[in-house]
Amino acid sequence: MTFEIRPIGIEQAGQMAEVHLTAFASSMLTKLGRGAVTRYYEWQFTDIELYQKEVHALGAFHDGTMAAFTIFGIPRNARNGFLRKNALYLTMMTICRAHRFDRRQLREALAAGVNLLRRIVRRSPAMKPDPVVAGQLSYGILVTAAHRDYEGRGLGSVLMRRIEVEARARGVWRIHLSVRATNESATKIYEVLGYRKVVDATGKWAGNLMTKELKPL
Amino acid sequence: MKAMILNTINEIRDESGRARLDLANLPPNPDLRSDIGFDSLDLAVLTVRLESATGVDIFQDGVVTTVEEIAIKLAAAQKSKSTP
Repeated sequence: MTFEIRPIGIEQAGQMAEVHLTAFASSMLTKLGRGAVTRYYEWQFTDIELYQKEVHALGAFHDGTMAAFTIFGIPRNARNGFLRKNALYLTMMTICRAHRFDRRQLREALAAGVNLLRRIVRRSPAMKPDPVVAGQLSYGILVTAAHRDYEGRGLGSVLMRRIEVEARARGVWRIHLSVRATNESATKIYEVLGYRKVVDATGKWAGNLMTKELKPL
Repeated sequence: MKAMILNTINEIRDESGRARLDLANLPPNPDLRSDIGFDSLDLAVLTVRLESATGVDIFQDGVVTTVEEIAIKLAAAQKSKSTP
């Protein structure tokens, strides 16, 4: 089985959504439906200059079907910008599909809605500064996902390696990502690939950020 | 080359409590998933180990699915290094 790896963009948002729906079947975004997922990925390639984003994406294709993809770079406002842009749509979908959420997801949806309202009322700036780790520009990996039918083939590792090639080519020497502490399998793979947990002053990992320094070849 | 690859594979299997594989019992071109029993984590470890040993990133140009594909990539990389 051979895979072709190539750059992708907003035109492939629907295919990214298809992969997302199977890779993250229990996520809140998935439960909001295919339309919400597609809008999320379309957003990542939207308003690039306005939010000073730098977004790159790679897809792995088998016989023309997207098997896996990754989005990386400086994807500013990945979440909050998406929520603001699609506030009405997401509110409607949350109401219509509330029965699909578990309690944690409902709390998160409510908190996100409240925060969004606060920002709108206070007219807070939508942007947050990207994490610049130890004074050095760092590329963030927004997502790496493989379609359920193509799991276990190392596609994620291939894409992660390609991200490093792309980062080096652009003079970026650090990569960061966030992962849930409960996602032990992903955490182990990231550690094997050279990512290290970022810990606080007490040495505790908040279950979120991992980074990797890229060495010159 | 294949012996080195299979030795690395067996090290990884050993470390995770799985039985070592006997070359004689494997098909001529073992598939890393269906014959060797590797998952994503195992493939990541294999990539890193082989790169450490040979300097070659077997995943650089795409996924490898069989032992033969790994051997071909490593041989090609060795050849390009030795060619002036």
